[in-house]
Amino acid sequence: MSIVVEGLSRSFGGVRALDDVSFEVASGEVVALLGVNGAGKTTLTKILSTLLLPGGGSARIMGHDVVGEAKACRSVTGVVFGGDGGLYGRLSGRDNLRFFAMLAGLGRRGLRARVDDALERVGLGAAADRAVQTYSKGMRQRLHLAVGFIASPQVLLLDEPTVGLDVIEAQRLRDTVRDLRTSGLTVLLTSHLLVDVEQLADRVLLLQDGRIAEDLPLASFTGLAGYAALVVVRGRGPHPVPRDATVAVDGDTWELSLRVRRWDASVFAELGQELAGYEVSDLSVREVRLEDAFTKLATA
Amino acid sequence: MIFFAAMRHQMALMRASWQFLVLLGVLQPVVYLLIVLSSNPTAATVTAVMLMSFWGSTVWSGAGILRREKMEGTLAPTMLGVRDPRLVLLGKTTGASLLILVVISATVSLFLLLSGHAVVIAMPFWFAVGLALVAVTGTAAGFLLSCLFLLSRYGPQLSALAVAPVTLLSGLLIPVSVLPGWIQPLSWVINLRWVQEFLGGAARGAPDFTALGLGAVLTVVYFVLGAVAFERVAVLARKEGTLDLS
Ligand SMILES: Nc1ncnc2c1ncn2[C@@H]1O[C@H](COP(=O)(O)OP(=O)(O)OP(=O)(O)O)[C@@H](O)[C@H]1O
Ligand SMILES: [Mg+2]
Repeated sequence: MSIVVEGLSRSFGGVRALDDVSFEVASGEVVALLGVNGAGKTTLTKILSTLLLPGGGSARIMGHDVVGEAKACRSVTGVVFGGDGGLYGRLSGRDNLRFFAMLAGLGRRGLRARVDDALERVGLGAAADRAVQTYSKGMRQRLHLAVGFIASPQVLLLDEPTVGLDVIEAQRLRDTVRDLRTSGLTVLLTSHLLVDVEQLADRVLLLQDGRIAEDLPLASFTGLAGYAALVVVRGRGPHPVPRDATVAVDGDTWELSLRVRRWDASVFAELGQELAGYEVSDLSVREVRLEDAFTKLATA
Repeated sequence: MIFFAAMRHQMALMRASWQFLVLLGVLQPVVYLLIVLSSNPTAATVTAVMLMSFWGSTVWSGAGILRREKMEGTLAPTMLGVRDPRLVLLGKTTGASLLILVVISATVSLFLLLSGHAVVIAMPFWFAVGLALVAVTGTAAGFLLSCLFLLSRYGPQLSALAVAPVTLLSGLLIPVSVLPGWIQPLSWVINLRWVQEFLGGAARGAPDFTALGLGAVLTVVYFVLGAVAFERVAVLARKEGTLDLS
């Protein structure tokens, strides 16, 4: 196991940010931490990164205790947080990365090649010698990621790594993380961008009010939405009323939404029968997404 | 070694903010020199100018390092490294005081040269030793203050407040003996006072080695206090979660 968390809790004043949290992450696994704002995700990430002390319980990274063996934990962990801070704006990307690499324990030998390689990997090769304050948000975030993996950690903690990135930049960051996975890296990822989770995660942990509410493989978690596809039919005039459907009528037009447990030929045929004789103008089918499950659980 | 890496890193940062360096290292001593030039400058006044400029710079550069890093979010990644963060901070404060001392010394020398004032240093070797101690002393003070100022939200204000009393207590403006009797003992714990006495003595040809020793001892005390304060800051930050990465 790369990460073992047992009965972890942490309060701030009267606020219980984490309450008896337990879970494990196997080596090479990518686990996403989901939860609404204030659920305790950053608190958990900070404790695992040794920046914050737990109030109770324990956490181990590659067998090292985050409180008693903080330094050993740091030596195997890379941390990437989203946001604008955390870099020396007046220094170049290369100088930033070099300095952080040395802090992470890398020696001078072979450092240059390693820094160049990491910059190349995140697509900052051409901008490496520009001051970071001239970087776009996306470029900064790429540099953050490079700082996170330059020392070849065994565990990577990502807290909202794609916050504020455009879709192309976010995809690029996900691709880089996916590439890193091939080296057997364990990843704990927090993101409000559920595409990140859908593309990267093997498993999902749902944090609610500081407690683990769900701990499931990605597909099973998405399955918690309770349906496989959402069928939306629009039409005019009188409308059909199939079982389990909701209908919204606006003057002469109507819109029917139907959540189906599976989407296959028999369901399609059944729907065709139900709609026979009505004036249908449009029909769309959308597969269930992680977002549907998350919304359902978060608002339950 | 991380100490030297941090030192170079801090110097690079300061060079990148060269306007700041010009203000503290060039403009500041030049203003002081212009003031003392009304009378013929002696080695003692020149020493005082250098030390005043240096102390002022330490308060603004070295002592502010941790606070600035916290504000810019680079303190947390520093704490996340496997290197001892105290060694990193020590390297940074050393880099800051070395660079500023070099710039101030160059400015003062150049100024005296260009304005045709010759200042005689009777014992250049001991004067140089004194200057080296100034650099170490500035590092120690910067290290200690850096940790103390991090504990307070009012770091910059405290910095501003610290400049005048320390300059007075170290005897840079007026001799310590002119100060009210009850305040004089305070000057004993200000290592700038001893360093200034030693430098003045070396310039006159009568170095006061007791002052040198006291200055060195106080410097060590500052370092130890700084290390303790840093540990406290680090533990507090981990307890209260005041270090942010975003
Ligand atoms: N340093 C702190 N001082 C006081 N309260 C805090 C502190 N850090 C977190 N909290 C509180 O703990 C709770 C959990 O916060 P946390 O930042 O872990 O949430 P999160 O899941 O990361 O939220 P978000 O999605 O908004 O980032 C919140 O109620 C927050 O206000
Ligand atoms: Mg958060």
